[in-house]
Amino acid sequence: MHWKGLVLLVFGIICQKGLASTSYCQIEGRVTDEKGASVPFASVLIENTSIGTVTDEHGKFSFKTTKTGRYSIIISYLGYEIQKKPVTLEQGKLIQLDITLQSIHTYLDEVVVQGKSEEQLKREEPIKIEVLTTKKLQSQSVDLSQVLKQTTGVIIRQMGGLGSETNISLNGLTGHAVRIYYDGIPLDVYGGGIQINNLPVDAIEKVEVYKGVMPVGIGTDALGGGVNLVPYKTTNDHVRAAYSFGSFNTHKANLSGHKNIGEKLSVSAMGFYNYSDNNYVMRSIRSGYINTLDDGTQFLKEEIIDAERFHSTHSSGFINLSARFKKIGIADQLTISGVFSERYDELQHGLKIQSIPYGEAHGYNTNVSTRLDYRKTLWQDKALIRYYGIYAYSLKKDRDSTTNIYNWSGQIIGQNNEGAEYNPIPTLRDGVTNGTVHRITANYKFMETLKLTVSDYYRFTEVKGEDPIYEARGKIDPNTFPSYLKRNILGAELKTKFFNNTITALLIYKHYSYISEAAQLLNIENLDNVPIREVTENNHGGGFALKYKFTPSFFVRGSYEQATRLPRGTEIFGNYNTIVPNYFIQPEKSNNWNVGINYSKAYSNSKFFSAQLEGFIRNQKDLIRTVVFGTEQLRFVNEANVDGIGAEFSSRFTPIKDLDVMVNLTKQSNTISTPGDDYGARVPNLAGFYTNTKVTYNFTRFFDSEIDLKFDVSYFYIDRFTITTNGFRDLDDANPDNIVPRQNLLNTGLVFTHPDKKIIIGFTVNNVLNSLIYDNFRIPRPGIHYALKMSYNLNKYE
Amino acid sequence: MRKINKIKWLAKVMLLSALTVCFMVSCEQDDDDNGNPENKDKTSGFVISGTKGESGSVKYFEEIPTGTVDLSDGQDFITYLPRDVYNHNIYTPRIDGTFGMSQLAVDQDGKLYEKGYIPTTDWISRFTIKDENTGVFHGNAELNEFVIFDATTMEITGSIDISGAVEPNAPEESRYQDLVLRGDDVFGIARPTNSGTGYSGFFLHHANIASKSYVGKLSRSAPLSGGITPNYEFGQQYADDNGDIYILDGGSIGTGIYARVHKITSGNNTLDTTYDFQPGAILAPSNILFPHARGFRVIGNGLAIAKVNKDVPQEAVDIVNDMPGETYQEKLQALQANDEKLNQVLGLLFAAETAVWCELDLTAKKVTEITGAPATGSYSVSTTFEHKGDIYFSVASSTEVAYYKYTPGTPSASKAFDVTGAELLNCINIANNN
Repeated sequence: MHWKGLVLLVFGIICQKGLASTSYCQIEGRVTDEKGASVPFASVLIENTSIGTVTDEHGKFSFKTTKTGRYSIIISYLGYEIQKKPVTLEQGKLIQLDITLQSIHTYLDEVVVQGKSEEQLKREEPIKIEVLTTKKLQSQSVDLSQVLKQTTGVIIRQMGGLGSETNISLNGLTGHAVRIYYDGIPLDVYGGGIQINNLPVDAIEKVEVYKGVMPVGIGTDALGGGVNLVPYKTTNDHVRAAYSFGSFNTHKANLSGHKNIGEKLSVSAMGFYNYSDNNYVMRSIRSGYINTLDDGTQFLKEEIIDAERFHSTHSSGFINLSARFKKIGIADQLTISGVFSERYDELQHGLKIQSIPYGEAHGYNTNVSTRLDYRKTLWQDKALIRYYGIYAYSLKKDRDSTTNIYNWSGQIIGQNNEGAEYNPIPTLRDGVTNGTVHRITANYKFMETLKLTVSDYYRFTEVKGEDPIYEARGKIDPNTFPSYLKRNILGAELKTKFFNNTITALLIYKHYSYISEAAQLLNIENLDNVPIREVTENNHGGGFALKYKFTPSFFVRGSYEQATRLPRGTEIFGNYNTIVPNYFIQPEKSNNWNVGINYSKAYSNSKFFSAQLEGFIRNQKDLIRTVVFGTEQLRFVNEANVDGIGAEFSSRFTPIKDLDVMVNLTKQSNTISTPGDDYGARVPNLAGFYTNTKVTYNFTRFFDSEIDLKFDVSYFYIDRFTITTNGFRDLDDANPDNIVPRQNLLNTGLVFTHPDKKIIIGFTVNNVLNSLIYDNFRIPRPGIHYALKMSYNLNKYE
Repeated sequence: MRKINKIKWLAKVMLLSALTVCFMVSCEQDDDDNGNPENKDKTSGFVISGTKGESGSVKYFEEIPTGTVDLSDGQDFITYLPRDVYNHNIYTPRIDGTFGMSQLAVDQDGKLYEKGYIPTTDWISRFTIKDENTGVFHGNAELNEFVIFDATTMEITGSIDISGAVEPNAPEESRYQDLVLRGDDVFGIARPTNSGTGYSGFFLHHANIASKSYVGKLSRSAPLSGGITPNYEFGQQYADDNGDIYILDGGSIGTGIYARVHKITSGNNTLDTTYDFQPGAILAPSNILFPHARGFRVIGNGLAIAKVNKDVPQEAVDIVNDMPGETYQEKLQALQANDEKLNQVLGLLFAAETAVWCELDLTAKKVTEITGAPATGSYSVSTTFEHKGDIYFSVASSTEVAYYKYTPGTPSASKAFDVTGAELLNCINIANNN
């Protein structure tokens, strides 16, 4: 009860805050159509300026200006007549405008044209693109993995709490088969400094999920999908700050700002800092303790306890500074940016929970990168050239050098002989990755219905390092021999429309090539001259997509792509220890088919319905797996073939004003199709059925106050699945240790928004039912936990 | 009136009796359910296992199977690598993949379950069972100890300090290929190192369980073993009826060193250096590139069985012939120094189906190829078990995966049963102690 009183007290103070003693004029109001329905995304500007805003989903708007005198407010929206309202601006004055727009019906084959957002247009592409805007979630203390959970066909699993290693599964593909990008750049370029579960949702404007076909302008080598995190790119002056704290001593802070300096220059900055102890309790964990016999023999015993994670601390910081130049002759837009990030992670356990956790292993990661973005239109906007280039330096420190053995109570119960907790030998490795990435994309519009895109992506990576443990043991350090990886992916895409844009067709071609070089170090103890081995490979791929639009609300689409994933350095050259090289390893390939139907209709500006049904088939070949080589070593080989088939259903609708409902369902089957004993067996660690539902209700002017309140409830269900290859076993008969049981997860959230939209407070309760939730390999997730977030937005003013 | 009363009375008595009987039977069933249940674990039968992907697949059979055994729907365990069976219990590293050892039994429904376990702080690499109250293991947690445990209660009962046996630069982890028992004596077969330091010969570390003391080292310095190490598969037996111990040293790839049978004569604690028995040199004297043997089992009556590599793929021979050097020995040395070529040759040798099961006469030092069974990979599964006097041995080739059986003294085999649905691991006769 006490927290409720505190919140109300805060609101009371906020509500008392008025426009007194201000040097600006406040303009606010609401835009409706002739039927009284709200008009969202309508433009509201002071005439002949860029001062203004757009209306929200309720048709409301609010902005400030330091201008004084007589002006006109211009209100416009596609499909409606422009309205002009004369006003007199004075300091300290509040101007309330209620605007009614008159619609203009533009008949095109008896279709009423309605405005569509950029996200909606992307969703209606011939290839399957799911776009999740984060605006509505920025008031909540959630990370991007929770955002993605609300998408059909996507499963995010983690190895622990905030900042832990994540694994994305997308339509049956998982691990390295799914690529993650940050603003079109592979996320691993940033050396691990940022990842999907430590990037704050405030820093990201939207998340694009590509399934089946990756466009040439973004995709690299991905076996059937990718996720692109698009950072916030606003053109308005603003300052935004947010801070949240929650369970497990979790703190997240972020700050962003943007300032226009004249017509041609703008600067922006974005930074965040995360910290969490991640000390949630895992129930019914076996923990060891030591017994001693009379003769001094010591041995381990086990007991079952509820264990609090004690070595899972994560901290990360990130800052991005950029300067953007517009219309400077050689470029329409030129952006120079720099990124610095740093993180610290403690490692609590390996892939599975044992009775002996790790108590000291940890790592650091520092990344510095610079980026240049260039954009230029040519030939009367028929052609668009875009280029980005990045140089990135990453320093990764792995520290695993203790002889202490811990139990889950955090006590030291013995000494190990390896001198390390998770590595076979102690590690004090400092690894340096230098890399550069370049992409140039050219678009040419032959005509409105015919467009060509050509894109070339090049990446060079050098990896080297040193580990003093080798020198201390009188051995050659394999890390001191640098390895190199060069990749080039060239893509071409032809997009055309027929029959009054009812048919959209896409044709894609991709060429993959890579050159990989590393020292040949099978037996490094006996080599004086280290030979360098080079591996080169070229591959082709491509596909097509087709969309037929029956009506503006209903279309069908299908696509096919032969996708390729190039091998990583370790898969070619081994790890100089337990994994031997395989110089003949081939890229993974997948034939991806997607087909879907889509219906969406806005019945009014407050009632909306959409439904999508998509089916997919994935025939993956030459999947890279480890096999035993000889007696004790491993080697990566092209071994596995997997056939996947599935269907997804998603729907979003607003049956009544202020009530939003979203439903997602995924049913899939992924089986091993490699001839042999595992033929037909389920691919482990992938659920065959999962669903989620989210209901959101907005209380406008809650209890007749000036406060808007939003309440949401999310429910997730994941059917049980196996973590090993169980073949044809009925899961009821399978070893329960190998099964992740059915999981039900319920999350709720409350968001309070001050009328001026500047201050937003969000309160989240996750796992309300305190259910047993598991992640990768049955690693327990937290029980019920909370977070409170406060955000402050300072929009443009002059 | 009395008659009717009697009938009523009798009916009441009968009804009461019936109710009492029902009650007593019900209580008796409750006692069976809630009290100490009678042990109905299986004491005979066969447990066949294989690996599927990352887990083990295990099935129980009351009788020796015939036809085809399909392991695709067997019980699954994260780890199933049995090393020993005693008193109808199977001993394996922890079946949930954590450190330690599990004791498994087969319940009345034919399902394996974990009856007990010993947790440890690191991997247990080798263990063996002496009797129902005594077992010995060596693990990575305490490299210089043999740990003694009660094989029934799965409790640690003591340890033996063997630090006196350790050689400088000896392998740290998984030091022993296997542990061999002779009464209260336990011999650890030390693994060689690649560098030639440490155990660059054939070494045994000898300890005594009763006195919990280290006794000494047994060694044979020439010729060297080294290179091929694994000889720890299920089914190996070392002691014959006379108490002599025979141990097969697997030989070495690319050094011309044949697999060799070593002998510790009954009552002695030293290796018999006069005993010279190299099965590969007898079966295929020209095969000096890959003179490997494994799957050794002492049968009795002076006989043993082992899988001996007989041939080498021509492609591997060609690679060696192309190496620099005048003599074959020089070429082999050059191969050892060229990691890429060695890797290539190893890949060919590991995949080639050139090994055959043979009956070994340990006294006469004769090798007789067992006919009727196909050649198989030298590194393919090499497990054996005994049933009603016959020896069953595994065959895994590109054309079949099966157990064959033969009668000792008559080296002619016939197929017992095929195995599908998983990569064959072993078959255990739980009626026997191994």
